[in-house]
Amino acid sequence: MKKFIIMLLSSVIFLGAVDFLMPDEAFKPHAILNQDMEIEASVEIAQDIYLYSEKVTLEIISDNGVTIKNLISPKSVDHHGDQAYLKSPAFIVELQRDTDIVGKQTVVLKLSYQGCSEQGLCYEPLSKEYSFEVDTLALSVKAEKAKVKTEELLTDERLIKATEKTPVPQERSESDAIADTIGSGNIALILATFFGFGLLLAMTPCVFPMIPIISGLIISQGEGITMRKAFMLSLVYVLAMAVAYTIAGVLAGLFGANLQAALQTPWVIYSFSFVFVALAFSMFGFYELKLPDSFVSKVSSASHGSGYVGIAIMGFLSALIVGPCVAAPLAGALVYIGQTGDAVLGGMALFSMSIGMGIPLIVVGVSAGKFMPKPGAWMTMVSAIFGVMMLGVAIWMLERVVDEYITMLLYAILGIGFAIYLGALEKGGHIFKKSVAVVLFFYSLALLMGVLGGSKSMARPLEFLKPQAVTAMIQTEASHVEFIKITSIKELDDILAKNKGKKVMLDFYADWCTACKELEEVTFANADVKVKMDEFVLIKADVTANGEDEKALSKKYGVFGPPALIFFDENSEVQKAKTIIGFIEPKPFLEHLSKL
Amino acid sequence: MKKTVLIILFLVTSVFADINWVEDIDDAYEVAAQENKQVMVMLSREGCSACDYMKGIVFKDTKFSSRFNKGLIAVHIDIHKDFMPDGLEFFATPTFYFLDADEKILHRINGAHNSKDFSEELELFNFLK
Repeated sequence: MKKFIIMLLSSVIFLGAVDFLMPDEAFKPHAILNQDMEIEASVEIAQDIYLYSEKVTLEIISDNGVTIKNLISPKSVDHHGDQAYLKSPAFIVELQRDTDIVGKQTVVLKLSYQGCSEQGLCYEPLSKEYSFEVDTLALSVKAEKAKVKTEELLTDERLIKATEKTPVPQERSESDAIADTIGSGNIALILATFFGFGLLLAMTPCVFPMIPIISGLIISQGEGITMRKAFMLSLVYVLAMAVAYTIAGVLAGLFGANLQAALQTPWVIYSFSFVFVALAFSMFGFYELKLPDSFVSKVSSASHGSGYVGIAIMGFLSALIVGPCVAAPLAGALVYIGQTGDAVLGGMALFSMSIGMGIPLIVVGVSAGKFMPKPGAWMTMVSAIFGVMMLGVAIWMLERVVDEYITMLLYAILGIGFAIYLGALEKGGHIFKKSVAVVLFFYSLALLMGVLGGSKSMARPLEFLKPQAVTAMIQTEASHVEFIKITSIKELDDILAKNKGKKVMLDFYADWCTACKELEEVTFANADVKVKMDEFVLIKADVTANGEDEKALSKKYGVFGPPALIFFDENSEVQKAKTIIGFIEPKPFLEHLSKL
Repeated sequence: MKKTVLIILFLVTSVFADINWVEDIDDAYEVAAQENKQVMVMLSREGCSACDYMKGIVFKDTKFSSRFNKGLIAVHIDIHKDFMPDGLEFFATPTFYFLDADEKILHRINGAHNSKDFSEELELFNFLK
C-alpha cells in the first residue's frame, strides 16, 4: 500500500506537466442585454481550448412571444476537419415579438456549447441559462413567416464593429424566394421579372398544346385575314388566357386550393375534347363553326364579328384546361397572395407572367395569318393539317381520363386516316408529301398493331413482339427503388414512420399533369437519376382525385398543384429549401439530389 | 463456451495492431482474473476528437499495443449510451481508469496523451509488460 501511494505521488508529478482545466475554467459563458434590446452573448475560452461551432447554440426557451429574429455569429475555422472557434466567440441575438405581445417580458436564453482542449481532452456539452427583462416596445414585430435558426458567418472584424447588421436570409425554396421578390421590389421590376418568367415558361410543354389551337383558330378565320386581324385575334386569345390564369391564381392563392384540379374532372375534359373535334371538323370544311348570330350581336358591338368572342372563350378555357402547369414562379406568386392576402400585386404579377407566356403564341398566331398561302389547293391542305392537329389535341386531352389503349387506338386511326388523305396509298404525288404519308401510315399501322398486341408505349408500339427484351427490361427496372403510392396524410405518416433514418422524396403527381408525365418519362427515367434515387425512399402522392384527403395533403406541404417534389431528411423533417416545383431536367435534378 | 469464444476472439484480435477490447466490463474482469491482468476502462463519447486520437493512433501503435495486451484488458464505455459503473467519475473525455480484477481502482488518467507519455505513465504502474 505504501508503495502504491509513492507511485501515485510520482505519477501526479509526472502527468502534472499536463494540467487539464476543469470545465468551468475552460469555458466562461457570458450574456447581457444591451440598450437596443439585443442579447450579446459570448463564451470566453481558455488557452488551448476550442469550441465546435455547430455545438454552440443559442435559443430562447421562454415561450412568451419573444423569439430570435436574427443571430449573428462569428466566422468559424476548419480545425482537424471540424468547424471550430479557436478564439472566444461572441454572438449577437436580435429579438422580435409576436404582434400581440406588449410590455416587459422575461426572456430566457439558453447558451449551449461544447469543446475540447488541444492537449487532448473533450469536455461534455454544457449550457447556461440567462433571464432578461426585455422591453418588447423596442422589438420589431415578427414577420408573417417564422424565420427559423439563421446563421450567417461574418468575419470577426465585422462582428466587432457590429454596426452594420444585415438581416440574414433564410435558406428557402425557389417559390418562397420568388414570393419575397414580389414583397420587396418595385412594381415595374416585379412585372418585368414575371414577364421574363412567363417567356421562359413558354418554352416548356405547358404551352405547346396551345400552338395548334391558336394557329387553327386564326386559319379558320378563312381567306383574306390581314396581319392586323391575326395579331388582334392572337392578342385577344392571349389576354383571355392571362385573365383566366390571373383569376384562377388569385382564387387559388386566397383559398389555398389546388389550382387546376377542379377543372380536370372527366366531364370537363370530355366536353373540351368534343369542342376540339367540332373545331377539327370545321377545319375539314364540313361546316362553318360560328356562335349563334343573336348571341354574337349582343356581345360584340361593332364590325368585328364572332371571331373575337369565340377566340376569347377559347383562350380562357385553354389556359385552365389545356395547359395547366405549375412552375416555381406561379407557385411563388400564389404563396405571396396566400401569405399577404395582397391579391392586387400578386394578380398583376400573374397577369404579367401569363402575357409573357403568350408572346410566342402571338408570334405563332400572326405568322399563321401572314404566311397563309393564297387560296387554292394548299389552303385545304393547311386547314386539313390543323384539323388533324385539333383532333390530336382532343385525343391528348382524353389521355387524362381514359385508358391508354383507347387513346393509342384513336391516335392510330387518326394517323392512318391522315396518311390516306395525304395519298399514302395512291400513285404519284410529290415525293416529300408521299414519304411523309407513307412513314405516317406505317407508324400508325404499327401503333394499331401495338394496341392489339397490348403494348402501351407510343414510342415502341411493337415491343410486344420481343418478349425476351421486355422481360430483361423489367428485370433491370426492378432493381431500382419503386415509388410507393399514397393519397392521404395518414398513409404518408405511416411510411415516414417506418423509414426513420432514411432520406425521403415525396412526389406530388396527378394523371392530368403534363409536367408530371414529363418529369417521369424524362427525368426519373434517366439512368443516372435512377441510381441516385435509390438512396431515397420514393413516395408518390397521387392527387388526381383531389378529394378531401388529397387536398389536406397538398395543403400540409403548401403544394398548389403538381408536380412538386418535397424532400425529407433522415429525421423526417421537411427540407423546405430543397423543394422543387415544376419540371426539372435530369442534370440539375441530379445535382440537386447530391446536395441532399 | 463463452470463455472459449472470448479467448479465441482475444487470440484473433491480437494478430492486428490494436489493443484488445472486450465487449463489456464484466467480461473484462472475467478475462483479467483468468489471465492475471488488469483492466483499462476508457470513458468516451461520440464526436470526441481526443478519444478518436487515442483509439485511432495511440492504441493502433504496434509496439504499444503488444506491450499493453500482455498486461491489460481494455473495455470501452460510451458515457451517453452505456451503463456507467459506480465510482468512475469524469469531467471530460477521454478519461481512463485502471482497475484490478476485483474492480478496485488503481489509477486514473484524464485526457489523451501521445503514446510516449501514455506508455511512460503506464510503466510507472507496471501495467505494461
